[in-house]
Amino acid sequence: MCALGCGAEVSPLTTPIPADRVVAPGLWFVLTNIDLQHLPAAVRLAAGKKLEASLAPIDLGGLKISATTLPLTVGEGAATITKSQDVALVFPVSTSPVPLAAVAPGQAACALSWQAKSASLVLTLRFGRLSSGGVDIVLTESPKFTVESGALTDSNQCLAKSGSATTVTAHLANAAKSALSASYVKAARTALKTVIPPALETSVAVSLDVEGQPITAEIQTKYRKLGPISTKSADSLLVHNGSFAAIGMDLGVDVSRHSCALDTPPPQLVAQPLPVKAPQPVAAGKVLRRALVLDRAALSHLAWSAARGGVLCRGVASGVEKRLPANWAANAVPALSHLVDAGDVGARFWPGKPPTVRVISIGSQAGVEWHLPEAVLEMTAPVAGVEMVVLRVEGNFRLVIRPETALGVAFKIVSATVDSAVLSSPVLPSAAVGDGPALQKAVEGALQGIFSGALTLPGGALAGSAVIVGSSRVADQLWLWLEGGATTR
Amino acid sequence: MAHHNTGRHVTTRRADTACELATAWGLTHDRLVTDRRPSFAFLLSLGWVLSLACSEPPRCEEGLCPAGMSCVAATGLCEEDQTLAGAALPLLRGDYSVVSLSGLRYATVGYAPAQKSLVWTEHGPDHITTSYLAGPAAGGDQGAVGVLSAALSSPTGVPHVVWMRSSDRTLWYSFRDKDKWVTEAIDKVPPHRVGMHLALGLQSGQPVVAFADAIDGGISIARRSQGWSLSSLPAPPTQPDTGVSMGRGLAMSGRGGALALATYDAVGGDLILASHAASGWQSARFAGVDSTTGADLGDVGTPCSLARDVGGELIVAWRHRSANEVWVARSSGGEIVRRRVSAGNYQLPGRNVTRRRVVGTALDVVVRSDGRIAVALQDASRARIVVAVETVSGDFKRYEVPATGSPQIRPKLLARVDGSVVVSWLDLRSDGAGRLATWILNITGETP
Repeated sequence: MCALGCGAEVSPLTTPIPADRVVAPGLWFVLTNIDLQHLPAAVRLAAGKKLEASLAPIDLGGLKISATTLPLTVGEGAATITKSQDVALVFPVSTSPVPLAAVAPGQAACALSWQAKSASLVLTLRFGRLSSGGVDIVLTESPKFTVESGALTDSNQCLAKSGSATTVTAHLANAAKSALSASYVKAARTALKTVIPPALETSVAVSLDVEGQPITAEIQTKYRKLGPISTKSADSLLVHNGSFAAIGMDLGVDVSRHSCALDTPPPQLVAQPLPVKAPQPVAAGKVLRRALVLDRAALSHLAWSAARGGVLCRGVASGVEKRLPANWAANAVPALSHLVDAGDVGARFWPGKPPTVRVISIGSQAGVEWHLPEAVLEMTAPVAGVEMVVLRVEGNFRLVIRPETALGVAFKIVSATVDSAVLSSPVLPSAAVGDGPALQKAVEGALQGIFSGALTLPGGALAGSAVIVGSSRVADQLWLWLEGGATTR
Repeated sequence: MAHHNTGRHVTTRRADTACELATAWGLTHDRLVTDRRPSFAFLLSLGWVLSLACSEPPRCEEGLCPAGMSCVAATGLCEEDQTLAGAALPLLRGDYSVVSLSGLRYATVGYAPAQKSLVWTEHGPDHITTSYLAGPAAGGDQGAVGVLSAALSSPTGVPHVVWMRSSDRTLWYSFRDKDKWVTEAIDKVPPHRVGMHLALGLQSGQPVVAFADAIDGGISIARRSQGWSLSSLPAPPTQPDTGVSMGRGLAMSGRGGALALATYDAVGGDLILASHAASGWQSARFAGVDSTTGADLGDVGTPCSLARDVGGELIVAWRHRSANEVWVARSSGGEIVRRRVSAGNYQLPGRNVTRRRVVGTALDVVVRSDGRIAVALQDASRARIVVAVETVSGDFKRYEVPATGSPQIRPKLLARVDGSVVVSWLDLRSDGAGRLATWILNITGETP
């Protein structure tokens, strides 16, 4: 529903959002132990499995080692969470024998070689709060390159007189480290920013036009460390509990009231803590999988915000007919059979009381059920050549939506029903309008037509260009499994 | 007194401002007398409101009752005319036209489904006469005639009518010469070429017929001048070239040598305006696209309606379909002034909540004798007709047509020389046919 998009004007938020409009925390990013191992794989894929390091000439005082290149091979890495809750990425590195040439003035070049059979690159990155107040992914220390098993083979005794083998070895290791660091640090930060985007922490006011009315949506998101709050601002915000690493986010949304919405207080549900163990995703992860966990408290607040901002007061002038059988009107209300012509079918929805939501299981996946009490649905169709409201349904609507396997965090309506409904037809004021399966079908088609392709959570940036590959339900929490994506900055 | 359909209409010729206010809020006289099972409390409260609001009793005037009714002096009420009551007045289906005749007389022309014929009904001050222009009821033997028709009257009150014969989808034209109708085939339009929309205009006194071309696509123009000729309306360019599909929604308006046409491009969702001069047709996108940036501004232009003010300036009314709004534009001092007539807003009783009705799905625009615009709107959410009349300040004041107990569709307006506006519509029946109903709207209390 273009929830916070569509020609919006964005400006910085001048005052904090009131506490009763903040769900703390409302959502989490979770990396299971398995998914953690996607990080080094993605980093290696981006940075390269084979690199070449440039070795500058080494001046050993009367003897020079000529410039050359070091072919580096990076093996599959591993990720761990350190005691300080930082992400450590360890990559095995090796080289084939590197031929070197030692040249003394007026003498022929002397050949020697170097090989690192076993070396490792260790990058330790922290998702932490900077002194400036912002969050970013930074190296906690310089990348470490250690040659565990390496040898300088100098069978010609090239360096015998100079006694500088250690110096040469150090230069070689430094050259390898520099080359690896340049690629791998950037790739590692990119991968981490993809799974936990620092840019999601924001504080903005968005001006929108909703149904011809200016609406301001204030959004305030802030990463927070789970568990005891750290007093050290530079500490990692990530917490690993043995099963997964997670970071929480406070979600504050305040929306000016659209005239089509009732003025009601926010639901103020309290988010439940994350479970001790993460649910098992249905599909095996491939690239940068992580879970975006939305608590019912956050979903409820978002639903309240959407309703308050008029986003649910929505209609379409046509297109519903594609979701309905040709004789939908006659099926739903037999008396309409003589009145409704073929042609465009539109629909308009007016919410009543604020919606309530709950997380539900849909087979092996998860979804969200919206309960929209005291709402009105109007369906339009051609009557004697004039577009008229032919059906008015007033009652309690239920929409079951499930995550769509699509870009961004999108949802699809899988069913829509209405109960306790008062049915009428303005073009048939005295005719009885009965309830039945055909009417439910018409309601479902209309609601799908209205909200189709529009149920996207605020900030598609939550998922970047990631793909939803599955969903799980744990109590009142919706776990969305995301893969891939790109950094937001 | 109608017992089976619409109930009784009551109109007052000189409703004062208080009555207009009551009318605008739907507190009309006829609701008082036509609601079938009004509660006692409702009647009491409504009577109290009306007694405060209306300074004169709701008495009808001769000639100002709805079609098929006459003003009975004894009761002050419009009673169904015994000679034309109920079924005697043919039911209509689909589009119809209202044309002005001499004085305060007017006529309606439309398709009578029961007779499968084009029916002409004249509304005089004390009588209504019905005749058939074409079709079986007029002695024809070629099946249904007039499912599609358009009509207008010249400034001298001569009616012109164009209609389609269903059997071969050919076009026919009639005009009245004194008391006789002269009919001719528009022979330059080949059979089966006429699509679903039709409009009629006069240019330099000669009829010009525009129709959606079912074979060639777009809009074709048949022009009468020493015989009929046929041409095509050029489509305005699109950026990028996505094609044009014109013809759904069609209106024409001529004055002297000027002729304008409005239509809807279903591809771009734009309102297209075209004008005809000696050099031929020129067309442009008038609404639905930003003329500077080319940005799409929504689905705009169907339905649309045209009128001319006293100076001959063009008035355009249209529906912004995606925004559910009705707009009107007129030329003022060389500039085009656009105003929103209605967005269908209404307040939910007892709650501080505003909702919107689906409005403008049928509309008609006229210019009153004082130069102000009146737009009749279809309230599709309630199947009611609303008339928005321009005020001195340029805003629009809404008058709701009295409830008739039946769904109301297809509003038409006719501005009369005395400043009143004839509001016509069809009281829809469950079979899709409609009974023509008429309301005379007098607006007083404002200095032009």
